[in-house]
Amino acid sequence: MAAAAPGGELLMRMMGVVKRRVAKDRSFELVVPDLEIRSGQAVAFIGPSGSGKSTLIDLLAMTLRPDEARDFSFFTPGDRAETDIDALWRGRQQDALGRIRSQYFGYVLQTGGLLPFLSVRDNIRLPQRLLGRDDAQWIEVLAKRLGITEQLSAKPGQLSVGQRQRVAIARALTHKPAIVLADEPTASLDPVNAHGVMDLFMDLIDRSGATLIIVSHDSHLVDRFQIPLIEGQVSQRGATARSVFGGEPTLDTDRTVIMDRIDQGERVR
Amino acid sequence: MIFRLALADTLHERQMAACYAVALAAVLAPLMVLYGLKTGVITALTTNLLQDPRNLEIIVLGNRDYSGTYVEGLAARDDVGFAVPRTRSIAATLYIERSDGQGGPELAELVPTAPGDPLIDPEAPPLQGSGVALSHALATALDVEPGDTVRASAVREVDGQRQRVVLDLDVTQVLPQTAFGRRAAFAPLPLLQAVEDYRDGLAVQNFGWEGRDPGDFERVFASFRIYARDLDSVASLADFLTREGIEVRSQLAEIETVQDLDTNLTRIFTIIALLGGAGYLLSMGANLWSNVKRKTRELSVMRLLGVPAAGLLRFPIFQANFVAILGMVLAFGIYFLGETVINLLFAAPGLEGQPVVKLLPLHYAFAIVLTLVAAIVAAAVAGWRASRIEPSEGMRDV
Repeated sequence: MAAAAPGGELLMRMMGVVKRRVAKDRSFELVVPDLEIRSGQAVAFIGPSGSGKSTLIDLLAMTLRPDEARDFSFFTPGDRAETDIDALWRGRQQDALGRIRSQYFGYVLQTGGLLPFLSVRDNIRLPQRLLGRDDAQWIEVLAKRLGITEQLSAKPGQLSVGQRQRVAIARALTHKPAIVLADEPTASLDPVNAHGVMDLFMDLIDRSGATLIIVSHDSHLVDRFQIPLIEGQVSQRGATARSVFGGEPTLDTDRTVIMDRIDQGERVR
Repeated sequence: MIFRLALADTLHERQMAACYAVALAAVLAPLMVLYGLKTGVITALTTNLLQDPRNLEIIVLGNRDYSGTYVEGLAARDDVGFAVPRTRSIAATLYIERSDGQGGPELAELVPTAPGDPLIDPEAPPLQGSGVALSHALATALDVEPGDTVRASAVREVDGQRQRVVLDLDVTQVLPQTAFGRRAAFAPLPLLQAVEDYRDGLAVQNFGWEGRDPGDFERVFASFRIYARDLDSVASLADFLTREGIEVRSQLAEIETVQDLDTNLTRIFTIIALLGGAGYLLSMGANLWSNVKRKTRELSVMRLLGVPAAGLLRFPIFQANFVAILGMVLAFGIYFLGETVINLLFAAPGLEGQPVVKLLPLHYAFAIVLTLVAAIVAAAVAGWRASRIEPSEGMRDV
């Protein structure tokens, strides 16, 4: 399955967005000169560990405050009403950001991120409940497609890692979000399981029509699904590492070269 | 929604919640037993004092001239429960015997009474006309009971001539032994006034007794019987009468002993309760704080999914209240057990039949409200910390 090329309505725009992290003897700077996320699009941010992929996805998910932003906007699907995300951060309106997140975003975390005190069914249902919805039928459909129907009454602690990841995918899609963010969704799985989970994930994304933003250091996984990608350009100046993500996602012949470069980077590390 | 999430988490970690609840019960139950002990002993002592109306009596010493209006004024005071004028003691002393001549005569005193007299059974029919209530001592000496008739005789000497009148009196009730120690007949004031007038050589038209024409005169009374409205009023009333120049005697010392005991026990309890409460507050607060630290990952995910800050604030507060309710149930159970055992095993001297440990419904309500408020206060800091958790803090660790 190949993901859709850019072309839908604009959902997010980042221009001149910078996030800095300072440690004792080194610092890191993520720069997003220009980036647009459109509906129906699939894009993978790839790069070696430490290239700021997770920082970028946190910025996109509105869970991390940017240090600088010339323009950081979200456009409501349908009516295209523009929300200034940077202004909400500056106004400390985290609850407003949370409302956007809960309504329009689904999030698949690396290790599932399930609440251990809720059953699988209640974990999947939680995003719906937060929006005042209760679509039990859709939960059953998701569970069936992901092969976790028999685990719906179990607690996350009783599941295998692969099953937990499938529950996380169901939770990310249960409220039919416009954008699904996946942060290394298969990093904790063995290759066979990883392929199986990704097959299901990509199939559901394809059917739902949601925009997919995926972060991975697994170049082969991204390549297998032919997801257009944006590579982080990492440079080092003294004690400061700088990573730049931006531009249009790539699907052209340079792809193989990019993959090789990332693989080499990973091996060096 | 947050309530259900907090409940689900509490049930998921029920062993830990049970430990917190036991810790709360360990503080609350002894406090309840201690307060119950204080309440039980003080209530029993106070009840004992109240059960004996003599403790409310202010005894007027010596005789003076008091107008009926003065005594009425006293009776109208807020701190007065009952007041009635009394005639001269010597004039109110007479011989009483059984009408059938099978008992007596016994020398007894006539004591004035009126509706509201704390020594008289309020359920019995009111005394009027020739009706009297006998003290236990006199009734025993004459071997009479309510419904019997007794005969009283008053004697006077006029112009060297000894005169005597006889009165048939209906016994309507016999006072309990503790109410009045001497041999006496409690009668309406007009009867005492008639006997006093007769003793003074005056004619008493209502009873057909001959004598000097009384003419117009303003009656004065030698003394009065007076009772405070309650135990707390005894001191103020005795003080007032003393300031009026009236020498009085009361059970104030005994009452003050109980009141001092109440005050001191309340102080001791307050200190212990404050120390225990502060310990509980700190321990619960620290537990909840560490709980929030421990649950940062889960709270981050909740925040990621869109739970607002106010929701995260309520999360530990709800949990603290679940623990508080569980702890209270445990504490109440331990208290009831302790109360039963202590009341079975111990009975304070003079308090037989009354519980040594006792709590009133108001005390339970107070304990519930105080515990829930303490839980909310203890959880508030943790709640504040939880409300500031951002998704990026720990969502990748779950």
